[in-house]
Amino acid sequence: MAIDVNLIDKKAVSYFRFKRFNGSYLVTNDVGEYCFLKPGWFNSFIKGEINEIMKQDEVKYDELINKSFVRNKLDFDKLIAKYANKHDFLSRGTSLHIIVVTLRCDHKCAYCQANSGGIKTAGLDMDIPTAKSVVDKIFEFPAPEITIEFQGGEPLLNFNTVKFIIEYAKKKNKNKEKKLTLSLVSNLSCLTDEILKFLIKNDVSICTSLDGPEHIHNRNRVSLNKNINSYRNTVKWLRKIKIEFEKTGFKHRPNALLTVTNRCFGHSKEIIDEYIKGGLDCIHLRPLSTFALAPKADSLAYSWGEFIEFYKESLDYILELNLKGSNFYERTAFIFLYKILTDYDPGYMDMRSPCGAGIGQVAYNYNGDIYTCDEGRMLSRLGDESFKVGNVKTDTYKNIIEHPTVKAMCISSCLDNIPECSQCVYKPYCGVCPLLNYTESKNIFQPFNGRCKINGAILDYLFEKLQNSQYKNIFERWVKDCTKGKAAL
Amino acid sequence: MKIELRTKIYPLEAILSTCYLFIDSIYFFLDLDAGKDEKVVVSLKPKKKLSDRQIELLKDSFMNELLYSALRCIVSKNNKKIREYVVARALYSTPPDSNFDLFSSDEKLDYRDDPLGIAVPWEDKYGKNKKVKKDNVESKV
Repeated sequence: MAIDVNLIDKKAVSYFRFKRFNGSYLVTNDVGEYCFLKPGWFNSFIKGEINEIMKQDEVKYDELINKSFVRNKLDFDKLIAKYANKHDFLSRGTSLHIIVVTLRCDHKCAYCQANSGGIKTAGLDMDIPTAKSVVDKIFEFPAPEITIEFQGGEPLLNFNTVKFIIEYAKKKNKNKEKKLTLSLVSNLSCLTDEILKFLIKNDVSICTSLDGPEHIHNRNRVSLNKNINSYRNTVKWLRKIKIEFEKTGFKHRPNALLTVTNRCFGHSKEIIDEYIKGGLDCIHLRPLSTFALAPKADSLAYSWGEFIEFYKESLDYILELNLKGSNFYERTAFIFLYKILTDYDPGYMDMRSPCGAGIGQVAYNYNGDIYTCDEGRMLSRLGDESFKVGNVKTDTYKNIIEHPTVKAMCISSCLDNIPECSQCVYKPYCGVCPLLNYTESKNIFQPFNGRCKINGAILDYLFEKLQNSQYKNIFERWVKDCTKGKAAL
Repeated sequence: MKIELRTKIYPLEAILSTCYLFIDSIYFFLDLDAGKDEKVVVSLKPKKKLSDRQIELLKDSFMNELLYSALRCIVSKNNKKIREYVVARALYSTPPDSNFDLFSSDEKLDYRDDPLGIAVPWEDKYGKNKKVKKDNVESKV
């Protein structure tokens, strides 16, 4: 059915974005509401003849009004409150502080993007005076909620510094009274009962990598210590952490990430079953990164289309399990669904507008250098310091937050400034990573890259499923528990 | 391949926006034919070699997308003030100007227009020869 743009009723139609969707139209608006309209209804809608829709479907008519698509029936207080909630992350300040306590690592992963050094390489550990300056710098940031995340290399190779930071940050916070969250990202190879006890006592959540069953995990994630089988060690500790979670009142479920390589293809069920067997309640299907050293992973690479096929296959299996009573979920889907189905935004750094670089997160290298994000820190290992915004010993909070690079990242990730994104139907749910653009094309502005295609395809799939009430109920169950949402992000 | 588009039907913004969507597969050159009936002449050159049939399909897709872009432009222009009002209230708690008509359209404004007098030099507004009451000046600050 053709659209006659001359017949648009300017007084009746509120702002919306749209696209053709399986024979219908999907319309969304600035506060993330969505609605499906049959072509006839879409034409009635833009002509301001919503009474025509009411005659055929009163529920659809109410939906259009309640979701703020009808201009002369807007509830401004509701609209403003929802817009404020959806952009609450803008007032939270720089809350995520990633500390790379060492660049040394005892694994040699096929796709490593962290540019780690060898296990015995000297001069790659953060010393205690630098760690103290890092914590002092973190508390200069005015954000009321602070998350300190330990990354590497393998952070437990420099556990003394991890321990110092945790204790010093907690001590410092007694005066500051911020909401302090601590998180460790580790391959668990150096974890001991004593360290685990310390982490539990200090309420540190633990996240690791699990690439599926042993035959995939151990090919991707090669332990340099011949006495350690990476897969078996990871699974052993995941079980132990789960037991602590269930029996000792430890607040944090174990968490794991999957980096999808072409070795995963054809094994989606096996991988998900492995996660469930390991006591995990979700999986995060992340595509291979093009950051830093990851290009060396060419032999593991694939097209964005192949990734999407794998993603759909996996999500279908997860939904099948949910229909049988499981509550297992996929985290990328969860992030999008949280934006689609609730009045709030999870503030996920890579999927917000503007992105979190500098204004939501910063990364501290082992030597005290500060970067807009961990990916910016990774690039520095290749000699590209474009995303360095200061050093803990020489720069103030003001220097960092007003750094031209922080401003550039902000402008280039604000979807309203990007022609193809500003009009995209998925704009309310999406985000871009200027640093990813930079690594792909040396340009922080880059239209239609693989990430855009992957996000678009995942959202297409989720909206397709949302048209089915059975699946919609599952999705609503996933996002219902906000506490779970925050824990998952 | 050339397409002539009347700007009375297809706003320039819609034309530019549509070209941008096809920028991966087509080289564009735009020119203005400023006759009585103003037209934009869009020259398209596919980046890859295509058959005549494929070129026709590409042109058809371009024309369809142009229509969608025109609709987007109209909806966007007509709701500009409402969106600005919502963003200002939500993010900055800015009180609305009581004389501000949310439902009026900005369509007739040109970028050179200056209804609030922002571009008028201070000297012209309040210079030595202008007798402006102090109260009036303060009310504008």
